[in-house]
Amino acid sequence: MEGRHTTPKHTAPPSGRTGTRAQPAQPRKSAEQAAVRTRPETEGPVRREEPERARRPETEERMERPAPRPPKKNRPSAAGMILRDILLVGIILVVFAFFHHVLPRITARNTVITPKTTVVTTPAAVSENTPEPTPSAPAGPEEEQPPEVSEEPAPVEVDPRTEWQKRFADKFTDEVVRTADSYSSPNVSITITTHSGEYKGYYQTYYIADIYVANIENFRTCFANNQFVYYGAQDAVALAKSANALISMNGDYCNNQRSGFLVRNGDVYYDDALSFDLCVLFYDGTVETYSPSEYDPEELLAAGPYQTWKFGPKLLDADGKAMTSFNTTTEIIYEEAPRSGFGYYEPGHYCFVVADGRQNHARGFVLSEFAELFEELGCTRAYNMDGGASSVLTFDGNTFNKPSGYRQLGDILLIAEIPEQAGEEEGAA
Amino acid sequence: MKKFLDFLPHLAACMAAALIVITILNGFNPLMAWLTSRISRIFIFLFCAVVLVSSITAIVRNSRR
Repeated sequence: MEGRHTTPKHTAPPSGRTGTRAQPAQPRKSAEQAAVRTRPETEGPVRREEPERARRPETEERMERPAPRPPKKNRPSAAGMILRDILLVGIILVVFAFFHHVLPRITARNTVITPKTTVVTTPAAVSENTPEPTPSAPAGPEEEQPPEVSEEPAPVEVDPRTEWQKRFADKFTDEVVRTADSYSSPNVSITITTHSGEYKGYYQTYYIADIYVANIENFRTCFANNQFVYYGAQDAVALAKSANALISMNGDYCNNQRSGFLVRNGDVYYDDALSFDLCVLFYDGTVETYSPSEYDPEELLAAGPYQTWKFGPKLLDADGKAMTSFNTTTEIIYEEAPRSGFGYYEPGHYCFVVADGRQNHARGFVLSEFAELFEELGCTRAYNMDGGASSVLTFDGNTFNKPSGYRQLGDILLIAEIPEQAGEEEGAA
Repeated sequence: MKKFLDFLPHLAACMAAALIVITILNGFNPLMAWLTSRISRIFIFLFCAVVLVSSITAIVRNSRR
């Protein structure tokens, strides 16, 4: 280093006299002082290095050596540094996981999220139940009119059935009829078919629940423990029983997020736009699936949404054809897995489809195969729900399919008798 | 202060590695909001701040050399 000096071998005599020749053996400090002393003041400020360089002999510069390195014990080794950094990465991830998962669950454990508003819309099927006014009898001559027997008007027969009950009259029964894989009543018709065998070259097992309802309120959803709690979860069968579900299928696990567009049973929890495909069941019984750019939350709210799901992606296009590309970047959705999906034929007619997977008796569906299945069923809209171990279909209080594992559910789609209907049936019985 | 500035590049590298892990997890399950939650946004902001300070420190040191 430039500022350092090694001790010269030839030392100056201790007499301290100063000669005219520059003595290499003299200490540098005295040489600098001499230079300062002999320098006239008119030359301006003295540069510190000039006298040093001028008086330093070349031999001395040659003798200069780089400064010794600090002792090794103060410098961490490369391996130690890498280990320390890896440990730091682990600490960062643990801290992140704590704040991302653990802390929100602890703080929100007992916090029930209440709906912002409720969509006030008269269900179409109920409103259309009102009898149409009967046409009045044509006026004729007075003498041709029959004599009045009574002043009371003739009783008008009103068909109490809803439009959907009339349309699907062959599906409903006057009394409740239950079998191992079907249920029918004046208001609900459920038929589950199990398909086990080769499908598109692979051994598959899947279940199709063909569903007809008399009223949109027969189609409900239910959160775990019957309340919207962040990360709330409950056993699928217990959840179905608590909701009096005739049949239920896992939903989209919407309660692990605190944003999006979420309406359940007419209650609006969130009304933000989201980046996932959205599925909406309206009060009039129609179902529509949207890409993120295809809907406006305000317009949707005005249209009367009854249920929304935000998992996806949507499986069929506007013409009811299977999608070939899906709105997701998640590789796992393209893998063979147990699947759950919701299909729509027409108002009042829906289907739940659950496919087993990751087991000997079922390979599981990739998403494109699942979409093709809905197209083959003749659905006009179809939407993918949470899958994997979440894919659970319950019927009559029991698990109907064979889930690939056990996982508690955050929410379910279910078909049930509405309390008024159940009361009527009990009264009739 | 000097020790802290010397430590910043390590912290930036470690946070970058953690962010890569989080991004991979987000690819597997985006519904868990690995990159869109509030804590994730705070983490990304802190990462950017650390990288910024570390970069400025490195630039100043290089210019003094």
